[in-house]
Amino acid sequence: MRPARMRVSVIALVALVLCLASASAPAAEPDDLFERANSLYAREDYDGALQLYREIMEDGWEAPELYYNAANCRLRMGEMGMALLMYRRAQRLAPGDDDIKANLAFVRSLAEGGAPKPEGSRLLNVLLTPHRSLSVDGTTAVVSTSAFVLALFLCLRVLHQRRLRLWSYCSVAAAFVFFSMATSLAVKLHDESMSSEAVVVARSTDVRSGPGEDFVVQTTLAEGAEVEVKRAGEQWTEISLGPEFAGWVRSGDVEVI
Amino acid sequence: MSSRVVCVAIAVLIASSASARADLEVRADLDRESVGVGQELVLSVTVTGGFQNLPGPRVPEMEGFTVYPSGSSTSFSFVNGRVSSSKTSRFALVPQKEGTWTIPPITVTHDGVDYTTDPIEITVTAAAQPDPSSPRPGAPAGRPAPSGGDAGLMLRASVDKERAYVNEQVTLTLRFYHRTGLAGSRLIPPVTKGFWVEKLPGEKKYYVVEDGLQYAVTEIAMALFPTTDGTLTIGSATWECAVRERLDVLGGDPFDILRMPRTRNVSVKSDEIEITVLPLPREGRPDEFEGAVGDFTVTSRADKTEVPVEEPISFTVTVSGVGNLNTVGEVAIPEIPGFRGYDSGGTVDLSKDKGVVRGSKSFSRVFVPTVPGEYTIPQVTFAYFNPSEERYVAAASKEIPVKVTAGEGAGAQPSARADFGSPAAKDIRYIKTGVPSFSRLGERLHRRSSFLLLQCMAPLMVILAYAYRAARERSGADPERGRARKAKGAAMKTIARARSQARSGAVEETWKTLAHALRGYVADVTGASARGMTLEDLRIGLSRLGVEEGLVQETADLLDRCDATAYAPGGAAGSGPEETFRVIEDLVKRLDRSRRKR
Repeated sequence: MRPARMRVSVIALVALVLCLASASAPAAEPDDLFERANSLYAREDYDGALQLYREIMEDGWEAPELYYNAANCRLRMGEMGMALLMYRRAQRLAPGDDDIKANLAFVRSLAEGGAPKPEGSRLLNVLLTPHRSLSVDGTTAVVSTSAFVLALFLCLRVLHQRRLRLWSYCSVAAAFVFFSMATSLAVKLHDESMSSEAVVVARSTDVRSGPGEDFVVQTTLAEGAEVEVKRAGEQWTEISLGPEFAGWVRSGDVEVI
Repeated sequence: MSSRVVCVAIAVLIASSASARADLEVRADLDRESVGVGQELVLSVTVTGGFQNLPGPRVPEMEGFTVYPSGSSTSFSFVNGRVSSSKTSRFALVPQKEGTWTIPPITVTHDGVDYTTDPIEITVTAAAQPDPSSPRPGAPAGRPAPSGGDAGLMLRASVDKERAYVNEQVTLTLRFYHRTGLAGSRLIPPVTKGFWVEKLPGEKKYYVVEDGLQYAVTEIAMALFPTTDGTLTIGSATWECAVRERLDVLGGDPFDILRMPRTRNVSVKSDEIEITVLPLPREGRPDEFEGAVGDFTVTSRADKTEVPVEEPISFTVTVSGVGNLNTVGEVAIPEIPGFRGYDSGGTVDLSKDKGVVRGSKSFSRVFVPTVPGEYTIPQVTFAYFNPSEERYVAAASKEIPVKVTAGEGAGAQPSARADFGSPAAKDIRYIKTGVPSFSRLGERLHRRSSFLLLQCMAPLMVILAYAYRAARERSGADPERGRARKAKGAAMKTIARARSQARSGAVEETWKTLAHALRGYVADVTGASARGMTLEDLRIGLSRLGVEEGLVQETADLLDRCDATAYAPGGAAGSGPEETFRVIEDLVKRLDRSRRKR
């Protein structure tokens, strides 16, 4: 390929990249409903606001702000389990959001029971901060950006060999970021597809040793308890509370996050 | 059951490793301390630990006894994140000789460590001694009666009491006797209208000798709590069995022995039992009474007793004891002036050990102090009816003093931006008012086709860069070829320079530059030097490249004209420079096309 043509190709490629990158989100159809719901919330009409937030969800839209606001309504209405569920859904989309973290911590301080969360070491927590603070989409965007930065440095390394060492170091750094974040993304996608956490949304639910009323009640979980779903059935759902304990609850008493 | 004499021997973990290892406790119980020769007694070995998959016991040979395994049961509970599990293995022991015998230590091995029980002494008498506390059918209170027999099958029902108060536990025991082999069986439980039923864990299996015949017994118990007063009836239970028929080898067809064993379905029923349920007395009934019957205690606890303003205190009231905790209603936790309070749920933990329903029920409330000061969380009263004492009891928890400090300045709230309006107002952050960027439910960036297409661009960029460098390196390796490739561009640049010279009025320079452009082009494509190139050199060079003769001649003429005009001004120019520019540009393009065709 001739260099002149190659240059034209690169320019066309960059233009295409910019066009695709500017591809916008779906049309802002639910905006009006969202603003009306916020107005109702400000007037302390939590039930009315919740109806509108739910309408947006039923239309197939989602956003961390939508779940967060709906969770606030639920909490105001005393539905702690549903509030916790909504905060968890909001956090799944925006793990780094401080408001979501604060309100979720508050609801958890009210709720009891559920599986204890392992705390882990401080060093591990620091290392995992980027992983934990980014959503799946956020991580995807970082992976994509780091891939382009890596590609850019590799191109400079190939074409601008007078500063070969500089571009090599930059490429290694970009490659480290890319592979770290790609691993983080893979883990998140795996967790999202495999994990099925749930929240007790009933006032309380009995955990039985088998799927039926005839089985022994092993313990009772309060509203807002967070559990892991192992098997979901129409009537009964098998849950686990930590690695050594499993039981069955009525399917309607828990809601998968 | 309560009057049964139990001999308990407890063996604990080996002291040196107790703290480092998982707690494991092994206990051996006998259901009586004396027994007649030929009678049966039950040895229960219970292993308790903080994990599942508990190990089973190794039962050694026992001198003076015949030992039959008699089933096992497991139970576990999960309280505050801790697992507690227990496994009970039962063995039926039939003494062969009278005297005082010792049940030897029984060992359970876990993680290479042996845990043993203490030896237990048992007295074996010459004749069978009727024992009122024996689990044998007919012995306990009630009137268990044989429900008939078919092929040695019987189902007997008995209760521990025939008179009880509303919500007092009545234990129903069903014992299924059989002497023949069973291909399968199932129990249809009795109709228990008017009772709250809790199935008791631990199906027991053991052997008994009755009227000189040994029976295998399966025992199931359930706790019944009458929900209304009057005469209530516990209906008949039914045990449906598939019984294997015995082969009559001597009297029947000898070829029967070659056939598959035949089975037939048999069902046996227990008798109905009437229970007289007494109403709870009206006299002395406290205002707080909500229907709890049993024997309970009340405790309360606060997770903190000194907090700054706006820091929540988790307050828990626990009712624990013997009785049906499922029917224990909400305990009223009083409000505290200067605090906001929210219910935060509760838990029920039931235990059904030794056939008695007991456990604890907790009620939690979060108190958020709003004003500094010293306060008292008042006592919580819980009223219940004690059926054994036949009186009401009002149990109360202790008061808890709480100190509330001012906290760190005015902004002690847990949120940076408070939400106002409801009870939880100052503790949660306000809604998000900006219109978000909505996405379709479940849609993710990495699933969008445009995004995936975008991702292909990064490797493509690198591939293109490598391809560009390769092309550049190829041209660097063959300079003549590279020069020829750039010839047209260089000629066009020179013509453009000549055009700017013409605009500035440098006529001679313009024609010299045009001549240089033509000569330079021919030099580049032929690999010759432009300096000193004659018209003849030009003709030969272009002809070698395969350019048409006419075009070669036209190029030579044009070069000749440029030279003439440059070095003899006003002499040779037939047309103006602008026209010449166009002609030369056109000529260079045609030459380049002609050359490339070849």
